[in-house]
Amino acid sequence: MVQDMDKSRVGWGTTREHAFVVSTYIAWFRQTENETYRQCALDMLQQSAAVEDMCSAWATYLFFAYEQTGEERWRDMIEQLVSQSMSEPVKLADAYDGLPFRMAYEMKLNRMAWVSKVVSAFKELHERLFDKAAGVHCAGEGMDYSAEDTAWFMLALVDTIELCDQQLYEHWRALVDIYRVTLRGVLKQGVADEAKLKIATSIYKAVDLGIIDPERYLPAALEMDAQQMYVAPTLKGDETDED
Amino acid sequence: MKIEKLFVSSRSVTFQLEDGGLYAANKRYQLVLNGEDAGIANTVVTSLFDLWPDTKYHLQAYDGECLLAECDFRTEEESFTMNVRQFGAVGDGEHDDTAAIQAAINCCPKKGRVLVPAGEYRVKPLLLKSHIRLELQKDAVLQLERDRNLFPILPGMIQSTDEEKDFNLGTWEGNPLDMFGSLLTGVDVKDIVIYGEGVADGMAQESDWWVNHRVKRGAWRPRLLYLCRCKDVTVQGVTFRNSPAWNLHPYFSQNLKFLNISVQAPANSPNTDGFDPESCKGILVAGAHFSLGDDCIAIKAGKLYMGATYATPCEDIEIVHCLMENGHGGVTAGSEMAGGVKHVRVRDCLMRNTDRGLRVKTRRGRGKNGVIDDIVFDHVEMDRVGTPFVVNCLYYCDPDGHTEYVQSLEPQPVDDRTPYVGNIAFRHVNATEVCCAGYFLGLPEQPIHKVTMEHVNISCARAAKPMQPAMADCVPKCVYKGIVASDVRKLVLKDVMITGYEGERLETRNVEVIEE
Repeated sequence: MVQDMDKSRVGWGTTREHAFVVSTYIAWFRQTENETYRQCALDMLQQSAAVEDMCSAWATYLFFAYEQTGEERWRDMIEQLVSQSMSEPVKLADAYDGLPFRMAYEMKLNRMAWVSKVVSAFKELHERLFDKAAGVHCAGEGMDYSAEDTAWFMLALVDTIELCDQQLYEHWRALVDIYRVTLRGVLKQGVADEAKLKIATSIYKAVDLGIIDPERYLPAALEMDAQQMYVAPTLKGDETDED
Repeated sequence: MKIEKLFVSSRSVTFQLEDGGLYAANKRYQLVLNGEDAGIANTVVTSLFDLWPDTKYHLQAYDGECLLAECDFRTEEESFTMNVRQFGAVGDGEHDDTAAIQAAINCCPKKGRVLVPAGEYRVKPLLLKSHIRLELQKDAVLQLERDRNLFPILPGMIQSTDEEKDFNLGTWEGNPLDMFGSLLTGVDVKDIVIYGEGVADGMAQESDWWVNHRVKRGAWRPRLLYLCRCKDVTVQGVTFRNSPAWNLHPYFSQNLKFLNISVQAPANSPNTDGFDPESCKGILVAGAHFSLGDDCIAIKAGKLYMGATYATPCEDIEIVHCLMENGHGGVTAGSEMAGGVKHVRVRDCLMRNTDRGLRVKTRRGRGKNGVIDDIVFDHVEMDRVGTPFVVNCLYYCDPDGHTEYVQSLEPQPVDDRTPYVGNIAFRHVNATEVCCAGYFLGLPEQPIHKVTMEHVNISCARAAKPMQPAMADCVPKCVYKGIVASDVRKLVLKDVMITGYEGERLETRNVEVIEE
């Protein structure tokens, strides 16, 4: 699988930022059905790093490649990642690294056997790190609030909510409730620049999923979005990947 | 013999002739109303229509020349009649009569009648109003629109403006999910009577509702009658047929009567339960006839989220003198029962050609509020019912139904997700031409508390086809089986006769006490 790729361009998929970029292309494709976005996403996925180096946040989007192409090598990569022991998230942002992928696996390939475990992981993070007085999460044990880490957590939540079958309502709803509480706290706290685009993205997704009130939250997202010019991450040494 | 009045409206009456019959009366009785011939009563529960409001009536029942019973009643007052034709309804089966009929409903004053005379009325979902009487006269047919793109959607949950509360409108299989509006929908309404010899037709056979029925397309499928948080509603005499999904679905409602209704769907139609009260209190179903593609009556109380959040059982239910045919189950409790199902009496009923007779189904994950208790079946006849008695705590429903968590035969921790089955009793039941006598499957960590069978006769069919008596991964197809019980605290069998079985009359595993 990896051997088939052009090794000179291998490298996508080793960081969370890579995952965020490809998720954006996939979202644009789904909204517009524009073939260009689909191809961009597939091209990036084709240039995936080796499974050993792959960030599991990126792995979530291997399912897109599998669904779009039907090629079994993508499934093989997914199964290989699943077979690696995955550690439970410790810090808030860790949720983005593995939980949407695990939910995707449960929903698409594992007959929903352990959806409850994925939801429990989110609940555990929320209960352990949420500061009720402040209304926001700490980034980790003994750490302060971080808008950036909270943004990753919110993206993880909406991605997982999107994947979760609503007929497993108690699980779906548990994730929605955590997202709502997180969103209220973050907006009350004020959002640092480095987190604005990601939080705005999560709000757009949440509005699209129908889990938050667009009247209340869309203006906030639009304002955050307007204030940011997003700079996509590049591969090291690849000058043509500037965005 | 006596005549017992069950319900009197402004234009109709339902009464019961107790002559020992179950659904059909033991004889045909000539009825005389105020001295005039009023037809024949051949069912125990019978209705008369086309009466006059605010009028005193004297009803007599004759067997030949012999007067057997009589009673007096007075019909209710009626304020006005809104004839839908006057509102512009055409009734030709083509014209969209939704606006006209909805206008008639909305404009109807208190205690007024919305009259739908004979004709075929093509309608999109209609919304009911409090304090009205909706009459579907003989040969009046409400036909549900076939194109789902023209249907309103009832959202599952809407968050309050202060984000503190939820407002629940739609529901699907025990979860608060978006659903299409039903043919007749009531939301937070009360004091309604829907009656007559007319028909509410879902027209599902002419649409795509039964195609890919487990896939949500736009929203989940509508019912024929959906009552959400309603009170004091009576449905009398109407025929319901060809529903897109469940037929009659009262939801978080109270004090309801369903009298002499007929509910029909093709035997192979998917998921067309007849009557599904969900988290309701105080229900009488009398003289109803069900012939369907799924459970005839399924008593429900939501799935885990609704059970845990609202903890509203479905309770105080009486089902009498009914006929259930051709469905999966005659009377079922579950599988959505997370709020609990309690105090159910099924009496003097006849079941024919259903897969199962009296069926309790639940599973891990329904929650600790999912208590099924005090369910009694008394004087029930079953003919060609595959397995008359089933209590199944390993039911493989829902997307995760076949997972290890749901299907494991090893004891799991008893926690907030574990349901409980209490006391179930079957008395004076005759079941002929069966495949398997009974299947009671508890949870190893939370056994069924007590099953009582008294004065029960079961005879196996000579040429029965194997069937899976309980839908659980551990239950194979079988035939000529006696009673199978596992994980039951107490099994009481008094005067229980089983004939035609092969092997053991009683197969048990982890049954603590057996009393015979």
